[in-house]
Amino acid sequence: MNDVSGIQTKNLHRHFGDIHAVDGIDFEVKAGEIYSLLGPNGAGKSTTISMLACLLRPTQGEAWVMGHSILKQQQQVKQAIGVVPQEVALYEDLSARENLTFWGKMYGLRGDELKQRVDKVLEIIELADRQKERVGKYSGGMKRRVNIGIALLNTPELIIMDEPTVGIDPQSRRRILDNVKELKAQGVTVLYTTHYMEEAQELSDRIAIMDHGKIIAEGTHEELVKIVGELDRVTLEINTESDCVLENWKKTPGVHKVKAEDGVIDLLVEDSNQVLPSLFESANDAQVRITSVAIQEPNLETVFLHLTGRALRD
Amino acid sequence: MKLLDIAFKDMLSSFRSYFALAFMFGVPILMTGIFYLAFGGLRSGGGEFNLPQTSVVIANMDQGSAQFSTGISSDLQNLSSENSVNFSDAKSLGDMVTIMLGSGSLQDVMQISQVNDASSAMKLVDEQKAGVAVIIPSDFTSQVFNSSGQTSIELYNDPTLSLGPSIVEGVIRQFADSFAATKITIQVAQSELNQAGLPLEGAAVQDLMQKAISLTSGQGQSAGNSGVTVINPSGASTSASSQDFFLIIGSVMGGMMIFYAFFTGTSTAQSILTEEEKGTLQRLFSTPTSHSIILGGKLLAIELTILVQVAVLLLFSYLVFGIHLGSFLFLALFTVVVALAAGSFGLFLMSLLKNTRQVGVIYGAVVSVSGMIGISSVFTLGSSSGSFTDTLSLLVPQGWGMRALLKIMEGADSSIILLSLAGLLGWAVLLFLIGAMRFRKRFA
Repeated sequence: MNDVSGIQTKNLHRHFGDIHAVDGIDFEVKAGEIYSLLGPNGAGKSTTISMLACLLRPTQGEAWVMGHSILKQQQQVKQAIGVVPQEVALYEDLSARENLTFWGKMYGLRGDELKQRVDKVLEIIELADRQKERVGKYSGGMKRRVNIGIALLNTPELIIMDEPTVGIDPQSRRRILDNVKELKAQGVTVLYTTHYMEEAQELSDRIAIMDHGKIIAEGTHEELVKIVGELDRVTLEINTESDCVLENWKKTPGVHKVKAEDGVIDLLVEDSNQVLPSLFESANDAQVRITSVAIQEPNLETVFLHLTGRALRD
Repeated sequence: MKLLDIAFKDMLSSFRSYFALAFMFGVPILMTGIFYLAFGGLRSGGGEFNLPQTSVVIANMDQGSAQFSTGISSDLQNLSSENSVNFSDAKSLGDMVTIMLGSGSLQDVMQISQVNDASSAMKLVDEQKAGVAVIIPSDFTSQVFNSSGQTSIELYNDPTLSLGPSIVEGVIRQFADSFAATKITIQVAQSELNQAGLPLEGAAVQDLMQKAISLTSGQGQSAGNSGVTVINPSGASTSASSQDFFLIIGSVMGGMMIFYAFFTGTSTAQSILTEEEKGTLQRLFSTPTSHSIILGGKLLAIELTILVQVAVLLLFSYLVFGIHLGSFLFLALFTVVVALAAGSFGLFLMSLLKNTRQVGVIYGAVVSVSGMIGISSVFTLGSSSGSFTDTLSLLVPQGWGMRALLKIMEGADSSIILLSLAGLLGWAVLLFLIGAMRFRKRFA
């Protein structure tokens, strides 16, 4: 394996009975970069992370984390990484300081070193002034910050973050994204999973798009967007769904993909200025009224739609 | 070290939970306290029964009779030398009743005073200066000696009292009944003899009456003693009852302690499922800490929590309830083994469950039922159903714990105590092995 890699996987599989949650993935995360796994719920992101954190054993394949095998060197892997689980995993009847102290001990920290790290982490997550309050009394955003703080205690070389911003307010989300950027600035490697396209776009050096347990595309944001070329994403809302008008739109020159759901139609088109009049004409012929129109430049959402025919939110 | 860190964290969580504290300490103490108060009235500080002393005023107006003076006095002299009550000064049956009520064996429950007439006696009761007035009519002796005569002793008591007047009535009724029975017996004998052509009349009847009453007085006194013994326990029976009291309260406390120790074992072991659901267990597994240390730490927390609980309850029962449960060494051993058994019991039960939603059933169906079976011997102490419940209780670990504790309390032979503790330890080992194996497989 490559010693300089943060993570390297080789034909990694995980099956749950007949379900192939992870179906032979290969990717490499370079040391010091932020690498995002982007995909809808059920794509296999969390299962991949669980295997890399030595919480699940692969059905097949191998992976190395900071140079250590996840099959043969689990203790070394665990010592080298910090894991931020998707759900807040804290002891709510303990204070923030007590939580951090306990988890620090689990990473082998003791004495002055432990105290200094707890103080430092409380400063990073900006909870030093409320460190003695029981976590159960904290807001969702504050709990998320403590949840992240635990993963920083052992000054890990690699942090694995599993959808750390799910279900929190925009302000807390912003703070967490800034924390991740600070980690990168300190040279920490970050493996980040999300189904929010904007987060992956803002944070990541490189992104892997996952669907049905496979990596269907990988690269930088720019590289991924190039997959869809110059296609625009047009989103139309109509007053009534009509198979007739959808069929006509699919046949319209310049239209590449059409996806309809609940009166919202997503289309990938070559030049929205040229295609839109034809779309309105077809709708008019079918006596369907278009109630709103949105045009987006190509982005990761467009890429996912292009590759899978589904939206990320699905 | 991590083992202790995990155990300490779990214990901290347990002891910060008001719910857990209530079931660990509050409920067992409350239950024992209720029993203590319920039986506490029977016990004084010195460990003796303390029946209320009743003030009895006697208006003895009995004038006696010639037959009593000439026929019975000498017999009473002899009787007095044989018994503790001295009737030698009695000039009438009324005097005998008065002497009887004032005898030493009744002094603990009655304080006797005398007045000359019925109205004075009743007035004292009305003014609540006396609890009971005993009014002996002037013709009491003569009517008793008259084979066809009728008489009665009146009791006038404070209606707010119940126990004291009942004791007085019991003593007098026993005394009076013996005279009544004598009269009936002689009347029957006289009638039968008359029918058989052997008339029994006049002086012969009086003579027979004197002899019968003399004998009856002796028996009556004996009977009186016997009756008094029943309602006013002797020193020996008082001591035995005090031991019974401690046995009851000690057993109740022990039973509650064992019941709730197993309850604590189960609720503390529930933290394994709770942590699994909240994700903290998986997070622990993601740290460089082995699974065996994590589960070992949690088991240690369960054991230590129960150890603290049992130790505190034992200490509390000693300091507050004054319950001496027995040998310190055996109690210490008992505490450790109960903690092991209750912890293993909880571990075993939790290993059978998939999630905390199933826990309610376990508390209701397994912990409560097995607990009640296990401590059932507490409620059948000394009863005929005791042997059955004793046997039944051994089907659950709590039963072995209860048996061990009762043996320690009884001061049984060491081998018997150790055998019971070994039985409990056997349960602990069995349940631990099954529980640990299942969790090991689950988190592999």
